[in-house]
Amino acid sequence: MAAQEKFDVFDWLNHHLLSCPFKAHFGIDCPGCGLQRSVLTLLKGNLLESFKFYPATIPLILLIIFTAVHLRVDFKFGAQLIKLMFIGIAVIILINYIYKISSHQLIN
Amino acid sequence: MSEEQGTPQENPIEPIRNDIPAAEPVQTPPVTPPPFQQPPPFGQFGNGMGQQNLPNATIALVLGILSIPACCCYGLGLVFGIVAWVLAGKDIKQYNLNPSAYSLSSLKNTRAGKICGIIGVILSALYIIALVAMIIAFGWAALRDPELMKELLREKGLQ
Repeated sequence: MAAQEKFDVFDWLNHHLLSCPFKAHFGIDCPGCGLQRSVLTLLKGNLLESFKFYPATIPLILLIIFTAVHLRVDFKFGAQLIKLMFIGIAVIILINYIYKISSHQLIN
Repeated sequence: MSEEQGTPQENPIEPIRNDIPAAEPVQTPPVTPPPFQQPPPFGQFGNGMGQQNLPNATIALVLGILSIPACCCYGLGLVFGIVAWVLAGKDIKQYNLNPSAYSLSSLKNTRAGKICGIIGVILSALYIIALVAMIIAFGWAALRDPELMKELLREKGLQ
């Protein structure tokens, strides 16, 4: 029963994802598309699938957790590390989007 | 030799130590009202404790980071990024006016928030530029109609 209920939760979430306005209007993915699906697969515990949907999810979640800890504990190099992680994530997102465009995943 | 020299020196010091406590009660009363409100001289206690945090340091940092996950949600990322950028800019100006009043860690957080906000704005702006370029290249109608889009792409030899 418990497993069935859990499955139903994911199923419900799958059907109630916020649809991207750009994708709804133009049929083209935006740089953030895939994030929600990726988080969902990560919640199911599937790291590889999550990475395939959106490679920046795992670093992004790590960054958010680290920021929450840093705002309480105040690490000495916390701000510097946040900046570096953020730049890294931005680069991952850019590369991912350029790869999507070049491999014709956007328009099909 | 050294031990023999050391022992006679200790004896003359002790009477002097006994004299000091007599002078201390006279000195303490003027010290008790401390000048807490007076800001220290420029740049003297830059790393000192007990300083105020910049008012928007945390908000700027959080909004700056959220500008990327919110990137696609109805342009929220752009808004978050700009708000983080402006708030952080204000706080850095405030810090520069009175550097000794605010803690260095909050300044670092504010700077990180500003940079995250700027990156978020750049990402959103790049996407909007790409979208506008696509609209110019293919036309509004093609973007709303996948079939027409496919035909256009075939004509241009892209797919």
